[in-house]
Amino acid sequence: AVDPLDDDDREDSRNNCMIEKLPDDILISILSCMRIDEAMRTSVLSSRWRYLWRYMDIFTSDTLVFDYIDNETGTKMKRKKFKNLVNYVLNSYRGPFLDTLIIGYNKLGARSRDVDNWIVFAMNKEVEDFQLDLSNLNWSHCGYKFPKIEKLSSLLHEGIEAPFRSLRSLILVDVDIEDELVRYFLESCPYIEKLSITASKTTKNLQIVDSFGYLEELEISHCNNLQSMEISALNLVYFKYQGMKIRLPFKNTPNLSELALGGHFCDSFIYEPNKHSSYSDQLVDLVLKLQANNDFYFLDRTIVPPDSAQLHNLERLELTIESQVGESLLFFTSLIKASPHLQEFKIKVNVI
Amino acid sequence: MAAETGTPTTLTLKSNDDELFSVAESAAILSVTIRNMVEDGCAGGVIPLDNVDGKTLASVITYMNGISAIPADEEKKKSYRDKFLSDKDFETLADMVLAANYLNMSCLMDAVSAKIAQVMEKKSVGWVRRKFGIENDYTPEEEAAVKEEHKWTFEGVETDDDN
Repeated sequence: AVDPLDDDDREDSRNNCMIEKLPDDILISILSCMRIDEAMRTSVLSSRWRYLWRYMDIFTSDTLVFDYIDNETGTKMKRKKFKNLVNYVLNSYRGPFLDTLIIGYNKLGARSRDVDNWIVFAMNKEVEDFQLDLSNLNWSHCGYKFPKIEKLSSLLHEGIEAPFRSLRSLILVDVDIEDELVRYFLESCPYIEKLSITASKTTKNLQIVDSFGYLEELEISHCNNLQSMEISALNLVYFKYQGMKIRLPFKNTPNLSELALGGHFCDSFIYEPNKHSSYSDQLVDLVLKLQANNDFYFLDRTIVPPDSAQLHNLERLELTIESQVGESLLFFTSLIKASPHLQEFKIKVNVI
Repeated sequence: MAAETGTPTTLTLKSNDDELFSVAESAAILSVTIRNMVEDGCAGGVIPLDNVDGKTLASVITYMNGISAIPADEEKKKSYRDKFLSDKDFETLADMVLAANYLNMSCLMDAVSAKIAQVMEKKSVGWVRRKFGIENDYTPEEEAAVKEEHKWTFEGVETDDDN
């Protein structure tokens, strides 16, 4: 069957004025289904269409999401086009506040006035959930640095108390953030519930002190220059850490019950359980991701460690293991034996 | 038209060209406009729909019956909507979106809007003007200025070599 809309030979005059008879609010609802650059292009059609796109939902929406990779098709937008798109939307945005701003951009190089401006925009719209992901698909580090607090303060709009005071959730991927700035967020954002930092090269000595008691979720992953971390957060429930083996970071975390580990620290959790017994008993959910290329790999997994893990409250356990063909996984039964209340167990083996 | 068995309440809808249609109340109340009339007790006799013609109303009722026969399964509903709209031409789509707006049927409204949007995307300005009967009232200078203003949006889009 021929699609009636793609049939170019059809008599066009049949459709005369068909769209012109629609009222503006319907045209705007049609434009709202388009990607912003497609909608903006309609301004060339005729004077009626000139400014219609400005009334699209997106310019007053409380949530803005930009991803340079199309979710449905997986195609990537050119950098320049993507930057233009974000800049145009942010410049034409009319809402007084923005709840959520999510930007996923394939950044090249450390400096970017565009990204600086997006952060300043988020700050001046008193954003609550802010996510900035600059990672490449191949994880080459772009080195973009989150602007310093002095710089942000100098660009703060009049009438706003302090930068990012409304923040509830901050997720940064492949954004270098200074430890000092992390401390600022924890000390000055009274509503902060979630903090996630991935692949920040400037993260070295982290003091996660929750002064307000709302912090529930924390992720620190692939920050390869991290030397130490100390967490004191009364209501922290979830913690994800993937990276170097560091001294135990848990200083005051009585409500921590969901833990996700990867990297050397995860190996230590499995192979040196006595070092983790001070907190392992409070865990209810545990996700462990073991990679093959590490020091512990050469330990024979068939030998059960001399002491066994203490996981008396554990209900769910998820293991992801990189393993060589034919290698025994019996070792990991020691984790199950250590968890008398286990209800759900998932294991995923990636054979290398 | 509407299933007679098991659905005791049937409504009669009248188009603006005086065609009468009977439809199960359970399907018809997908339209918030009709639902409000039913709730206000105005649905006893014939419900006049002054902004919808018979041809469009017949189509909308087909949609109402089709979609309400599908249990709560968003995926199946979506594929029904896609199939339902797949053989409609521009004129019908425009009538349909007007009717959906008047009848306050957000699911049909959204689906038709998305369909029209999808047709316009990536097409040249000339193509869209021709297909949708849009008269260009810009002077050549004005048009060039608007185009220049949104230059970046024209990257990777069909051009009007034939215009």
